[in-house]
Amino acid sequence: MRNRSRLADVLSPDPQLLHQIHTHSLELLETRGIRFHSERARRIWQEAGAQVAGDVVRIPGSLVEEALKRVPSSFTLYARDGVHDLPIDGRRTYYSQDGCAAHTLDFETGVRRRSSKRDIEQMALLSDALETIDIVSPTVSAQDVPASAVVVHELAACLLNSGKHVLTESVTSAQEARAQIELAALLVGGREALRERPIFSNFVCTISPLTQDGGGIEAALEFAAAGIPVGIYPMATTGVTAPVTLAGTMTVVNAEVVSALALLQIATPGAKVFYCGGPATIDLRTGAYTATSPEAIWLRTMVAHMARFYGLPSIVGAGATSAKVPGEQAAWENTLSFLFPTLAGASILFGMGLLDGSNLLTYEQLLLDAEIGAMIRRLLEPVDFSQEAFALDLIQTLGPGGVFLDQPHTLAHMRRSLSIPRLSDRDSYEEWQQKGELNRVAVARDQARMILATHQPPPLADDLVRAVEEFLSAYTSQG
Amino acid sequence: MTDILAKIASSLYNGQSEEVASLVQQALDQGLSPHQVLQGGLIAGMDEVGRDFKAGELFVPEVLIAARAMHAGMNVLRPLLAESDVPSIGKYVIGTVKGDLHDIGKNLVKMMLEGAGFETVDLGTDVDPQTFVNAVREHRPKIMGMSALLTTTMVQMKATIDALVEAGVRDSVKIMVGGAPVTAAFATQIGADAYAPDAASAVDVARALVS
Repeated sequence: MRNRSRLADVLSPDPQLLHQIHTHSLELLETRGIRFHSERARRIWQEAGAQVAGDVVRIPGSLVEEALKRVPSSFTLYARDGVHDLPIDGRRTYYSQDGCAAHTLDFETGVRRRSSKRDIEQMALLSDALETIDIVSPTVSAQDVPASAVVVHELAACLLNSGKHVLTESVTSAQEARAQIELAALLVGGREALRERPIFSNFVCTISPLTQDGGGIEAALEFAAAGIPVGIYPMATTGVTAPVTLAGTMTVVNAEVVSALALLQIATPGAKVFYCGGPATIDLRTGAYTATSPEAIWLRTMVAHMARFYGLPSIVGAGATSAKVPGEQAAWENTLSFLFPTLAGASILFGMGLLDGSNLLTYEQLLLDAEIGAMIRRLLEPVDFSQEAFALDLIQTLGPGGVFLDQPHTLAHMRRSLSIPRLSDRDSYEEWQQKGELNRVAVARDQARMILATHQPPPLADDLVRAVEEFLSAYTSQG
Repeated sequence: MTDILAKIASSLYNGQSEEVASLVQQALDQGLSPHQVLQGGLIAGMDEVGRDFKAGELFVPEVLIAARAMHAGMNVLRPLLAESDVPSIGKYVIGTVKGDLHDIGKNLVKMMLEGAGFETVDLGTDVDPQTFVNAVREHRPKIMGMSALLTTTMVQMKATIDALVEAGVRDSVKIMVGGAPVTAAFATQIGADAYAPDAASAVDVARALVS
């Protein structure tokens, strides 16, 4: 038998290994159990036949396996504008903005400050305009609105400034989940319409190791029941909240995801769910969180593989470079971080636009990340091998020394055959000098400024905008 | 005689808790004074750990197990040392603020502080302002540290400081804050005394606060 290459092992691992991760995590869930802070979740487990002792639930493996069989393997993420609907069918990897950073490098002053709702609005606008960004997300935390109303303001900021599907996180209670559902329902004509065409989805983070957030899980139950796609997203950190070894970390990640997804299926059979994960590593020298080490990228690639192992749609954490400024480190780290999970068939990459381990927003980074995504996407597009594309007649006619530049065949095919980058420099040295020796971050900045000044999101009827604003002010004032 | 002190220091460096405890006992049995064992064995070993950590030769997990070995040795020595000899720099009350269940960063800081000689009182997660106030009253710590991971819970840091002011104990304690969304500017704005961006620098900041 031919030896498989190491690349093949990474991109298409031995199913036996994936099966080992599966069986080890089920064994952990059955013998050691997992903590569910939510009483509601524990009650559901108890009724389903799991053992509940205090806040720890021990789940028979068969319960998890049975529940996972009910998960739909494909569904569509709808867009408010009706144009950018995204079928999750295992054939394409969609790119989403990263989420919930706490700081922004102010676009005008360049000063690092606390993030605001305005940042979310501006970034939604940029994402709406960028063809490579498929999904809009509250990319920072809206720290200038009351904490009790943050999640509705963040969702509204995305929905009003973009026509694309919105992916939210940081919802920490059933009540907040209901509020987001109610808000989105306003825009599509009610709860049932929203169930038919969910224009947003959500994911909830676990608290690694082996703990499910109380309010977060109750929010997930709420979303699942309303037909809003919902994911479970561990961020286990190798060596701190999971074993230092990658196999052990993946086992912890898998146990957390499948236990919560099984719960959602038991509560709402057939609920639309995502297998998610953004496991990371520490820097051994400092303990610093690192999302773009080679090992973290391997883990995230494995998240995509495990999702496919179960036949589930996935949201995979990507990007989130440790670099503090846009530039070379951000580019090399994020390129690899986007590439590997895409090649592993992730449904959605969550992670464009932030620096400093998802802690810092700069407006330029979204455009720079989108440039990487566009190149990857282009590389994975099927290439035309038709007779017309082989162009043998033309090659015969022109023969040795021919020039193809002015041929009708060239004119007919050039736009589909070759792509044009948004940002990358392909000028001659002299042209580059004449244009002011611009670096690409500066070009991204100019483009961001242009988009923000000119782009109009798909319009919304005035009465809908008013309804959203009234909802926001009523919700905010009720505290 | 100094042989055994060197052994204590190197066992501590290697994080061998049981070894350190029994060597400390052995050294005392040989007639060394508690003070000699502390200075020449435990502290000498910990100093070497600190040096090599700064030089990038030791990693965070190695520092943690060395700190644990230091504790094992101190458990043998403490009853024999005069109060003034015990290298407790001071008490440190620590907790994750109300509404926040994330404790990994807080636990790391606690372990590093203990390694540096602080005596810690860990209030756990989801700690409401009143519990912090009560702990400050009861334990009279030199420093109180608060952690938050969520932007929606970091406001509780201010609420807790307000509660300390209200209770009249704010000035009895230095307040440190930390966690991913927290910045030095935020710390100043809410009236905290100090901020540290990570566990290793938290130790330096805490040392500076009590020196």
